[in-house]
Amino acid sequence: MSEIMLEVKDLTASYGQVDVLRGVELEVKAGEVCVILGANGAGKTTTLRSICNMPVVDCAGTVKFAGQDISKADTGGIVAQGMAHVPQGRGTFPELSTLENLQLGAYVRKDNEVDDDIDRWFQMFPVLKERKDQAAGSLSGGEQQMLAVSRALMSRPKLLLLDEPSLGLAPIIIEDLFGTFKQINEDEGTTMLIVEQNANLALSIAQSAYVLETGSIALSGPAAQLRDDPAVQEAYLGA
Amino acid sequence: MTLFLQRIIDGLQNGAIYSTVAIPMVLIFKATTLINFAQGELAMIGAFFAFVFAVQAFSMNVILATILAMILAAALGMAIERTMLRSFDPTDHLPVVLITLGVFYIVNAFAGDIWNYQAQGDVPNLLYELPFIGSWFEGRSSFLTSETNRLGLRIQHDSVGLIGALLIMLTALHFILNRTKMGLAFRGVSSNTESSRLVGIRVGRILSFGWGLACAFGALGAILVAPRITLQPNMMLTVLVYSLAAAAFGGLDSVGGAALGGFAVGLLNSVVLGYVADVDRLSSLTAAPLLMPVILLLVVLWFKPQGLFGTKTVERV
Amino acid sequence: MPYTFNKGSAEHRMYRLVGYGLLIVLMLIIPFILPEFQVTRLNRAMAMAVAILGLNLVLGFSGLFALCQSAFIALGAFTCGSLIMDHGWDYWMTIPAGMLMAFLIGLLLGIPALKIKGLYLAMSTVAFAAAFPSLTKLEFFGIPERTGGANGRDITEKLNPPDWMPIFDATEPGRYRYFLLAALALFAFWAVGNLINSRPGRAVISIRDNEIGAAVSGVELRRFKVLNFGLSAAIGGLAGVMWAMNSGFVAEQDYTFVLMVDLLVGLVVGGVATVSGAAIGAIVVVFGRWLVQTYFNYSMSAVIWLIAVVGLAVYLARQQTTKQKKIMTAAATVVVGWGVGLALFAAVDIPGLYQLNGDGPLSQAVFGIVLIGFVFFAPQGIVGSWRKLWINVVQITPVPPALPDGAEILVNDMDALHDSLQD
Repeated sequence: MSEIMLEVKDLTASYGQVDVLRGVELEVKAGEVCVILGANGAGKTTTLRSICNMPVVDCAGTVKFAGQDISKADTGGIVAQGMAHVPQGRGTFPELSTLENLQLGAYVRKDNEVDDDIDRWFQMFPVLKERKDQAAGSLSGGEQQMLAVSRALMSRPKLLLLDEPSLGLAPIIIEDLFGTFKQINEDEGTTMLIVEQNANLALSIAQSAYVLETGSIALSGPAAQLRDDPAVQEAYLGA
Repeated sequence: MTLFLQRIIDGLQNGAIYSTVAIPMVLIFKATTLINFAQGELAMIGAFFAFVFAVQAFSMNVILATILAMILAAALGMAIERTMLRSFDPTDHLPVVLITLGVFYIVNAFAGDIWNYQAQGDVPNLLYELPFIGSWFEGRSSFLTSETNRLGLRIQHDSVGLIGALLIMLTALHFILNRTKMGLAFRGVSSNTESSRLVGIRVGRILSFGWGLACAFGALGAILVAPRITLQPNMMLTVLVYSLAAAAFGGLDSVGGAALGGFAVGLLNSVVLGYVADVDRLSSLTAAPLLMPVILLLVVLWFKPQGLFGTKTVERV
Repeated sequence: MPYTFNKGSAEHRMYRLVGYGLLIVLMLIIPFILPEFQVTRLNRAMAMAVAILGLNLVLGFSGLFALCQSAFIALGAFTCGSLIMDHGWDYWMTIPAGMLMAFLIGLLLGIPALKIKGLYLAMSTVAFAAAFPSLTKLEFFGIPERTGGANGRDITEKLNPPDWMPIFDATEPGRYRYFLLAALALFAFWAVGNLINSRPGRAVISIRDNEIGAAVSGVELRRFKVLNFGLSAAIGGLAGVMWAMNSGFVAEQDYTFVLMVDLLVGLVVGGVATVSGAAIGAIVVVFGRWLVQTYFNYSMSAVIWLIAVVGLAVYLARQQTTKQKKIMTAAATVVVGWGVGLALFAAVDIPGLYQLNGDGPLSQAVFGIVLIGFVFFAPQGIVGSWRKLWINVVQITPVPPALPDGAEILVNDMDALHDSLQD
């Protein structure tokens, strides 16, 4: 039936002496939107970083992406295999232009449809086209987020990791953003793993969800079920 | 007036020299946020490589020798970056400063040991060896004249060649950095290393690329200026101080800024010292010309640490 | 095995007494064991030790990239020379004068250091140190005459032993100077050692470790940074006066940027942020240089090639899994590397590639290699490494401060508290 796009087992991670993740397990099915909820410091960003095996984190455990074991692969290789990650704070290249940011997004691609894709994202986000030669750092928060997501999608990933995409954005923009995520998921079939603190909107477009608490999974299940769970509502859906 | 203009020309000629060390320094800073204090020495040894190939041990064609020397210098730079600098956290500056100073010491001593700290004779001038235009450079100098033939400024042809070569190198650099995939990746790493990884860029390779490019460039620059400032192991020592000032003035992460900075420092030096030499009481200042770049450095870093063209986020030191 | 005792206890005091006692005895005997020219060298090492101590104060302990200590040494030395020759002062009075001179310039440089951070400060101070020797040619305040310009200046009034001290021979003044300089050096080390442990000292260290935290804790950053700069410069000035006292000759070419790098080598080899490291580092630098220049007769290219080959062999061997493979890879690399080297040297015929052309460059290269080696393998220096080993022999446990009277102990059982929190 649906294949498993991402499988994580016994994931532990630390920054130097500080242990952050103590055995995280999760599973994301192909084509679905999965949300990880958690408070500050729970380890959500660390989880995404560990999945990508970024050098800043010391991590161990098993991570399988589309059936391949990527536990020991380097970040560049993982990206080349079809994973894209939009880090917290957008992670744009501030001194480079919007267009150059998108071109870098396609760095691992070897085909010649890159420009077509750039046009596509310009169509979806016309404001990016307006600012295509402007330095990315001068764009507003919402615009940078659109750029970051487009940049990530330029590599035509199978799995898209999003770290708190709503952070610092105005509510209206957040709504638009998540609407776009849903659309991309439906049109392209891109699997998404979204990490969020304030999670109403995220849960509304997701199929499954996990709750991360001090380094390990506390709750998991279908998104609708977690949304109706009173404990989850109190802790994470209040604000 | 003529004297003033002559000073300007002299300043530009000297400035070209400072740019050739400032530009590679800025390239490395862009890639790694490190100051490579050994930059001058690596350029110097590149010039000596060319000398060995063309004159001392073999008798290669000068152009071929230059290309080989550039490749060797690039390889040396890449080796240094990979073996000695890669393993250190770039935000911890002390080990890196110490290592580049150590490299400075070793390369300088190595050259001094082999070539005895003496200026080499028979240093070929790359410009003279260029096909077609070489002989124009070899003609010593001409006078820039206006219709009324009153200006009488003297420009040495090889200085024109030097400045021209520098402009060509800058154009090539601009092309590499802004129109190639490698260059884009380099600018990406310089802008945001973490995101570069997330885009699939192999950051280590780009760092090597940056160092290789910088050292090749530096070697070419040294080869071009060697006939003018003499080819000897200590040739880059004073140039280093001027180049630090030039790089800071232009903006540590701006290649164009470094080029302009080099010319600016050269101009400032020539004009200020020229003026000062005429004033009796201050004339001794000409004996300590290094004072000027030091003051310039302090002033720039105090008031505008990002230099003229650098980006303000350079504050991350 | 480790002998443990509490800080401040009677055993601790005895331990320190024995330690310092041994040091004093050693220092008293040494000048009479070594020949005169070595004592002069030792004197220079002591001056360098003081200079490195000052450098450590600003670079090691407070983390500021002040790489211009060589300029302050020059300042102290020139002040001493000029005051004696031009104004008839005697050596002792020049000490505070030299220190003051350096202190003032240090304060002046400390002000830009407030705003210029990290690497930028490194750039500026390097430029300053490199430019300083040429400043002796500036014709203001009679500087060229006072400093002797390019040729240097002989201080005709030397520091010679007075007649009423028969133990010292006037023809071997080194020993006499040794005791004077040793006294000065010991005083400097004692003063700095106390400073580090005092409140202002700890404030300075806190700036290095976490500037924002320090500021928030009320440490007046600006004042401390500038004072620190000035103090370190003053100590450098003291070193300069000591230098002049020892050699009786001041010349700008002794205080170039090369001296600065030597100081850094001494700092790193001795141990950054340790007080005794300065002394060890100075001895290594001064005597190491002499040793290399006297006994090391190998071609530099051969040495560098050898080190590169061995380094490559180690690196490749590490990548192998079995011990047998490791040895084979290492051996193969060395053989191939050496063969390539021989072939290269045969092909490239440059005079000078084989012979040793003078001793200066070789010791410089060795120092560069040592510096890099220490940064890689022993960043805490000799003293730091020694302390790690010595902890297995003697361990001094700090005693927590006693509770004041009337203090109430709120939590008696930490484990129970922890258990109760788990639910």
